[in-house]
Amino acid sequence: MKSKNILIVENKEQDRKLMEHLIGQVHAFQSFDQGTVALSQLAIQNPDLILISLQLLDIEPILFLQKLKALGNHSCRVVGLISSTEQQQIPYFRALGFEEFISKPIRPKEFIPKIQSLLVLPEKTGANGRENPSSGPILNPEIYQQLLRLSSKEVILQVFSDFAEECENLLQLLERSNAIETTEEITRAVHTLKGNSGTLGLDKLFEAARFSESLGKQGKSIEFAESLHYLKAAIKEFQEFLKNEQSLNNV
Amino acid sequence: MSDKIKILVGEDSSIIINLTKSVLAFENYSMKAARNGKQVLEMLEAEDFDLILMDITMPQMDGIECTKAIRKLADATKNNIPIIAITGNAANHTPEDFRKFGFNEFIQKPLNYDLVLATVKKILS
Repeated sequence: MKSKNILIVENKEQDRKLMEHLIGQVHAFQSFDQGTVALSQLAIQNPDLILISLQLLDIEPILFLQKLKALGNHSCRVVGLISSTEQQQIPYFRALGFEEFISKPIRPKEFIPKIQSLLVLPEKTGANGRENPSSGPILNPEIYQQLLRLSSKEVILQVFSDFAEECENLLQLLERSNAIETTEEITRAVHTLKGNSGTLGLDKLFEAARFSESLGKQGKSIEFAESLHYLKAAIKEFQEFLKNEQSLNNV
Repeated sequence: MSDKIKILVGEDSSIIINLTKSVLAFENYSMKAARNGKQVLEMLEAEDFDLILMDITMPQMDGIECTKAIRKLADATKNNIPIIAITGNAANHTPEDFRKFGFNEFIQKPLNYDLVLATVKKILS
């Protein structure tokens, strides 16, 4: 009897068939070419591992995670199947909540050992175990220490305060704008936020802004609008961080 | 009269302006800021500077247009001023492109201020 149940969501038939063939030799599986259909199955089943393409046509990875989380009963890992051209976006997908990735094209010799190693990891506490966009540090301590060395603490605190205001302005812009219709204007604001957050060592915010800007510049309006939800989450996380007076002292 | 080296920064983000000003002051440089390329040109024509840090993405006149205009100024002391490009979209241009635009050097955003200072010192030496 096959010991574990793995759910595969992959719209590219060749990749899906290969994974079905490899996994089928060791474990039970269910396979879907659409994320929305997989979600309806997940409402009634609880697999041990989910493998999902990050380039599905019918649903964004972020929405899939949100809807999975809303189902409330899944503690298994969700692994992103990532193409070689998306490798540089791994920090962004990590910020979304994906902790593990398998690179495509699938390499049969590496694939099953990787699956086995993921199955023996301890279970997560929620859908991918996260409430926040990611668990990494909000502020890069090396950059913050560099700024303190090259400037004064008073100036640095003021600059962070100014940046928080800039973030608030962007949030307000997002609230009153339709991201799809005003992509260009918002992309410009996100570009500025990207440069400033990166310079201040706010790595998570920088990654979120970098990815949103990239989608905006590519004219991917729907994905861009979706990515802004996570940019907002990263901004709010930073604002919370700054509210705690001790935060910067503890870096 | 001050012997401080004078740096003009073309940058539309007040956050980067304030931070850069503070870092440069720690190294005993004097700095003034312009918010767009037109202001850079106006300030350069009105005053002498030793170096310009020029953001590429600015409203009204961007850093590339501004640098091209500076290189065409009649005053030889102004049109030869060293200019360091600051870019958040380095992937859009090659180092050769920046040289063709008239920049002496370029730095990528996010800014690493150790690198900024090292580049400024290298250019000024």
